[in-house]
Amino acid sequence: MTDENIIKLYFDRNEKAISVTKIKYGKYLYTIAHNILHIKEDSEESVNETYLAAWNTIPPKKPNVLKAYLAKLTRNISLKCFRKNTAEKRGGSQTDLALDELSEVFSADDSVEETIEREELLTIIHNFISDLDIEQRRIFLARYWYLYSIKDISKKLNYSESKVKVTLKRTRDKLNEMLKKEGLL
Amino acid sequence: MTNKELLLDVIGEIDDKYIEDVDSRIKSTKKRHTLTYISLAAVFVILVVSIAPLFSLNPQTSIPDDSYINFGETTDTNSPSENKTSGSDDYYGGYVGNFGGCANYGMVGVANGEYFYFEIPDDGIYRYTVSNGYSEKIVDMKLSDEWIDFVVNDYALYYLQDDTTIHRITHSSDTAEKFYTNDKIDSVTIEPYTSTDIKVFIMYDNFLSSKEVVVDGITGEEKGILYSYDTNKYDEIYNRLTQEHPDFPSRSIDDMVLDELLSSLTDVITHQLGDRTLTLTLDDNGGFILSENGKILEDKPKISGECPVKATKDYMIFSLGFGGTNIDPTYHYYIARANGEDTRVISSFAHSPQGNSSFFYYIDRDGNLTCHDVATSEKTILMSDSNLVYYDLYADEDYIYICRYNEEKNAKKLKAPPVCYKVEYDSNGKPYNLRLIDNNIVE
Repeated sequence: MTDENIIKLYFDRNEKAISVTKIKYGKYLYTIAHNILHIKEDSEESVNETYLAAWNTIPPKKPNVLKAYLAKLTRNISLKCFRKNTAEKRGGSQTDLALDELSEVFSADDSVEETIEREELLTIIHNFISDLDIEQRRIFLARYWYLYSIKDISKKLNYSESKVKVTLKRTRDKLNEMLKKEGLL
Repeated sequence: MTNKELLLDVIGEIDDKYIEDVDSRIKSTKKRHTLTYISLAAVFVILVVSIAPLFSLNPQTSIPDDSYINFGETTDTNSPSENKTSGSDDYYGGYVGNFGGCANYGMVGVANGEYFYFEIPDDGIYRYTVSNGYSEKIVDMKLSDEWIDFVVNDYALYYLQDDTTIHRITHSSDTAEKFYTNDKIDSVTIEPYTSTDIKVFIMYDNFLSSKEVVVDGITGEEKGILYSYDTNKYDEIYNRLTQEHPDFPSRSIDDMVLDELLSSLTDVITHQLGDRTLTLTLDDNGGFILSENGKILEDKPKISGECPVKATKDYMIFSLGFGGTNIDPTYHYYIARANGEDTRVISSFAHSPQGNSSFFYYIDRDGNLTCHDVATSEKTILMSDSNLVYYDLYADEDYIYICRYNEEKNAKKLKAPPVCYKVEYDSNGKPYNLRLIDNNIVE
């Protein structure tokens, strides 16, 4: 079924929309959730919340790319769940590790509270990502969008683990330089 | 929220096109080693109610029951592969058509020494004929298409240009014909399966039910069901269990339904060649244990899907994907060889056997295009260039096509057409050289 037809089901308030979304994208969304949460039940819950969020937001929203829209919903929901679950206790999940890696980007003390304006950072990140070459961008997003482990990225994108690590390090350094250049650090 | 958390959040808001790009790249790599829906069911809670993946590669084994899939003779009499001598003893149980991820030239398919198919997005599917060095566009894209799903086997090209109909163009023809459709189909997707069969995934019943079937690529006949999902069956079990356990929460009932459905799965996949039997047995963790003639392999690789197999009278070679963890924790793809007495992993580089059952080819992480002798495990470097690590390789017994990933800056402007080489054999019948045939098969 085309995405356009699925979106039409949402607009028609036809509950088959959720069934079809589940069949077509359930596995993909579960992968995203599980990369973040690493707990089967929580991941399933996040995916179910994604369906509900899609049902509640389409309409009025009419996503250009349904898959990406759903993926973003799942990522956001899962990250919220992650923060809630690990507010007191953090372990060695990929999300923790990714956050630790990203802390390298900020040379200032990052332990207290948000100091950077969201919109400003969004603009910078958008420009930064669009300027990366394809290889760097894929590896960067596989790590920090999808939150895949280094090992999984190596496997999924056919690079050696050392190449993935080196590329991520260089990309983070580049981001650090850009943030400095833009006066955010 | 700390800055790093904010950064992680903001990265989540990037343009959809970048998400799609990463996803498509992951998919194009993953497609080379298909998971069975058995493991998908175990991992992703897809509910399966019937499966009959009992495969026979033995042409002498005739199993008329519809629940079995009997490949039978693997070479159609009208197939262009009929006249090829080097492949005439081969029984293909795996991917003959190949998947590709060659950026501007996507979804590449090799057809037995004669043809090479590639797709240019927003343009069409092209067929390169080795004998005359000419590429012709055989499928025009509609305005709405960016990519067209297609697969290639020894007999034909199969493609989708809408959601419900598979079209076919045989290698010897320029004319497309409707090959497979059905009024009840809501959506269909295709994958290669054997030298003449294709695997078709169908959604029906207003997208609530689905099944995967093997379709004869010549006659269009359905040869067997690999997997099916029936909402009615799920509802039936769910309702029964709800009545039996009225106090149970719905999540528990869901799990019980899943257990019941999974317990109905066939858990053994068998590849047979003569008196030798290669068996994949589903274990409790959703992986497979590989054994031959009833003996578990020494290395006990677990794999999570049916493996692509090519076999001759003497050997079977097959790829194992996704985690033969106790062999090598770093690499996840293996090529293994079976000759009836020993079955062992002979390479940990290649995803699937590119080449034939005597020799297969891969590009290693140092950029060496390497020929691997299946019988002796001898490796011969045919070409070496550090840039080759950015290339995908497609091969049959006669020709090798390499195609650069489009991974450079300003990639949209980069045109990196597939290059064609002929494999040259020495007097002992071993590949020793590659001869450039065409450095730009597009023009």
